[in-house]
Amino acid sequence: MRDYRRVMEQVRLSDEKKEEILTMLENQNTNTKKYRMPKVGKVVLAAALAVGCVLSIAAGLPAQVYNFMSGGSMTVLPGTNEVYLEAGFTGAEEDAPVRAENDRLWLAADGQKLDITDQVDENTPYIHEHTDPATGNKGYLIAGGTPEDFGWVEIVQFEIDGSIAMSGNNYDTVSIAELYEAQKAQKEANGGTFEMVDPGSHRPWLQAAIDQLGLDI
Amino acid sequence: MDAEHLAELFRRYGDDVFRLAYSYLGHRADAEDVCQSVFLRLAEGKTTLLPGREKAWLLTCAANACKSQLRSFWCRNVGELDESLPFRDGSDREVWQAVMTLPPKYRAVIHLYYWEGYAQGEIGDILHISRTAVQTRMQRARAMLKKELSDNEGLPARDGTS
Repeated sequence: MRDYRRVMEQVRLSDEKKEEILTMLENQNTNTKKYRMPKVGKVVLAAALAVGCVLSIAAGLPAQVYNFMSGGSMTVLPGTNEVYLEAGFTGAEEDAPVRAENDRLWLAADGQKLDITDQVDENTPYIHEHTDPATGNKGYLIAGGTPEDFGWVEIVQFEIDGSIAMSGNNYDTVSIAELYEAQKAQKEANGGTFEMVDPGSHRPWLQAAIDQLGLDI
Repeated sequence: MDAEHLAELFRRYGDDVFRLAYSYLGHRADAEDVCQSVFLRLAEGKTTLLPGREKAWLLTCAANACKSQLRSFWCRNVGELDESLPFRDGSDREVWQAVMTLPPKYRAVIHLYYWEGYAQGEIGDILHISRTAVQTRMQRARAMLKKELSDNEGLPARDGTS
């Protein structure tokens, strides 16, 4: 019998990563706590493109690409079940396609700037269909909420294999930062103990959009 | 918490946090990020660990981070690129690949039971699910693994017997 423990014994942090984390801890450098996801994403994409060229030639099918309006892209390699994501929305407010200005909610896409304030709420999404001009693939920019508490997300689902990617901000009920904060609050209130915090789900407006579009997420 | 205490906790439990994250996410870089975030969270100094509960807190925090990450843009639908863990032989890789066919929530239960040696109730506490849910996931995971592994032996009992 193959032994799970034997396999897991081989799974360890690399010495380089251990050293990096130890250095951070010894310096208590909390400024570095941000995820390095954008960097990881870029590495993944670079590998994807290299592999994609080879596989596309072998399969005779081109890689499918969707460029998010908010930055980054998604690449699917047909016949491989492999999907790669490049770094997307950076969190910079000026890059967001949906913004609150003067107590109104604005969606900027495809050369338009629309006031969607009266068309959305916590349960009602605004759905903007977008065709990637570079590839012709179709995606959706979905927004919901209120000017005080809104979110948005770009979703693309490729017909070729049903793969889905999402890039956005504040579209689930609980973010990782909120998870940590909730735990912290509980610990401070309970003298060091805490209950697990529910990681949440899609916000109602997003779930309504998913249902409306018939996406399988 | 002072820096030396933090470093000691990392030396003692860093690999355990990484293993849980890796079993959840299946990608070294993502698991490293989770591991790093868990310990840096601790380094913020606003967390009071109960003596004897340090590891459980770290694993709970890691599980939370993994759940969140699995829902995120960066992780969703990312293909299997990770060849960065060279297993000793092909059978080890086969076991790993079979485990990775399980849904992440099943992998976490399998990992906490077989590797960490937690009881089902303790696993429930860490993952914030009921003991019944742990049992259900365990049963389903075993059935799926048994089907997946060509020799149909499934995973052994925790004491090493089949």
